[in-house]
Amino acid sequence: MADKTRILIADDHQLTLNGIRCYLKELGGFDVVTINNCDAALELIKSNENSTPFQILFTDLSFDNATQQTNLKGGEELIKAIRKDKIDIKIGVITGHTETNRVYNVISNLNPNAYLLKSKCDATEIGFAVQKILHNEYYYTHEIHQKILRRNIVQIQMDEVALQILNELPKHVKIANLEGIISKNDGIKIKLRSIETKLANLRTDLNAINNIDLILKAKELGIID
Amino acid sequence: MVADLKVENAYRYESALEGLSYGRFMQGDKKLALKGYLEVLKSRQSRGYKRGLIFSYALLGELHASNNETKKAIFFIKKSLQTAKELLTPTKKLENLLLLSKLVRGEKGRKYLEERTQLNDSLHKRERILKNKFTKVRYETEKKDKENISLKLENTRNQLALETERQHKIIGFLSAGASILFLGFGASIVTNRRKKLIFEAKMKQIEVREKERQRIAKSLHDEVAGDIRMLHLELTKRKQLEEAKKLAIIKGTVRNLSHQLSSESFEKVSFKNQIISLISDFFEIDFKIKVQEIDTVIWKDINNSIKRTLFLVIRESIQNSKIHAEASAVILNFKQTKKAITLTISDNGKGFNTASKKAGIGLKNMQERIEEVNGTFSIESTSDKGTSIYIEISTNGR
Repeated sequence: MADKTRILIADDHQLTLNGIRCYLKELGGFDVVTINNCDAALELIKSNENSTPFQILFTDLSFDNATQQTNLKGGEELIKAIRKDKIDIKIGVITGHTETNRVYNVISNLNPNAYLLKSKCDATEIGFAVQKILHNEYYYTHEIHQKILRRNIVQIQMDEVALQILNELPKHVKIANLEGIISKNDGIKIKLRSIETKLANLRTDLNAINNIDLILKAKELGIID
Repeated sequence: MVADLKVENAYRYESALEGLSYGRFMQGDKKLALKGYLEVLKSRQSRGYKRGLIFSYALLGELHASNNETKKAIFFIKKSLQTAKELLTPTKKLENLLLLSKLVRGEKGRKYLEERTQLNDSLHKRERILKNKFTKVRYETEKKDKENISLKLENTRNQLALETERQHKIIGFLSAGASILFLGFGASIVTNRRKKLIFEAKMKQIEVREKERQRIAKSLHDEVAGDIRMLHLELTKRKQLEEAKKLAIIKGTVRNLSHQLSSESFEKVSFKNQIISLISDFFEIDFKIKVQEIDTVIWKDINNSIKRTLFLVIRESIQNSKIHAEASAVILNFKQTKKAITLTISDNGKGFNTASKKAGIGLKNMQERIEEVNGTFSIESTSDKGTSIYIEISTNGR
């Protein structure tokens, strides 16, 4: 029993809890505990932290059973509380929320290792996600991944500096040559350090391996011509 | 000593000598007295001092009368009387007439006495008249004085009244002006306040409606979609795949609906991030949305209801551009002036006839939403050249 991965599932719907438990049972090798509210979830995680700690928490985002007395009203607050207490546990989100805004906020602010959608996921996907999580890697289900990517594209398109960098990069052999060419809205030239940071962020946003890949992806996605 | 005076002052000398002579006369030294009298007479005659002459003649008359020189006495008395008559000094006249009546005997003397009596009477009468006159004058003066005083009093009272009236008038004018100002001020405050209250009420209304939308969205998402999901699972389990497929489509519709209804609170997520997310939902390679100058607006200072309205209008118009106008590009241009935000949404789609009533609920809703936050909404469209929407919303509700 000791080498079994302990997983806590928090959701307000019993059906969902049962569904995920079934999927995990299919996969086998997990010690699964379910809970239907965030306050109790945090309590459980804390009380087990020193004896039999949970390795993974799967949580929903909205909890309908939250009342005035509830301290943690939803998944976001639960994750925040865990991060605040610096508890060593990996977090995955399993939810029905696909609103770009919410997805983006959860991913960029709370940085969960996985983001799965209830309507799409099955045993295979959950198993894959668990493996990724245990290796401290990230897995977002395809739809979420697409949303985030599109959002990044839009954001880059609105960013004058990013567009300048992407347009200028292919014309120069060295990145250092970009210094003195790229300028902000108010005309102030941007330093090399900032350009490099910006490029790194762009590579992350567009899942590019290197700068050449970044330019190709930007062209492919229509960010630059 | 008396002689010393002769040089210095003729009048005094005469008077002194006369007095001295009269004294001598009374002592019985009639010769010296006569001499003195005559010198005085001479001096007075030389000076032409008629009032003195009356005395001199009278005294000489008296002296002669005491010497029983009646003729000389009468002569002098008559002279005195004449001079007195010339000078109109009735008292001296009376004395002389009395003396004459004593000196002249018989009928003539009686006549002098009569004349004297007459004169005396007339004098008394005149005196009385004069006295009366004086009394009358004094009385009148007093009366006038009294009147004057009362008039003065009245005058001061009147003046006071006038003054107070003027003051009252000034105060009246001032207070009238002040009250007009106050009224104007009050009115402007009231109207401003009313405008503000109306604006706030509208904002509140929007807020409430938004909450209602959120609630509906939530129940759609959690309850309806949840039930459908369960049903979907059930159907798949029973291998009724045809029905399951149909249900999946319904499920998708419900979910989209719930997403459209719900919108993240602008307190948690910045407007720019909301817009980015919104645009990314529509993003496709062949449908490009460009956002210009979104950073020129300080969004955190803008009322949430205005932001929500703008958000919904942007979503609606992007949808229109994509679905109805079949556009391949949309440009959102933001601008902030001191008092308002302006937004221009233009696409390169088919365009439509703005005059036709078939413009649809979508546009009407947009217009209504904008007008709710005291904004202006106008639309321009030409066939095959695209559509432009202009929105201006004042940021302070006026």
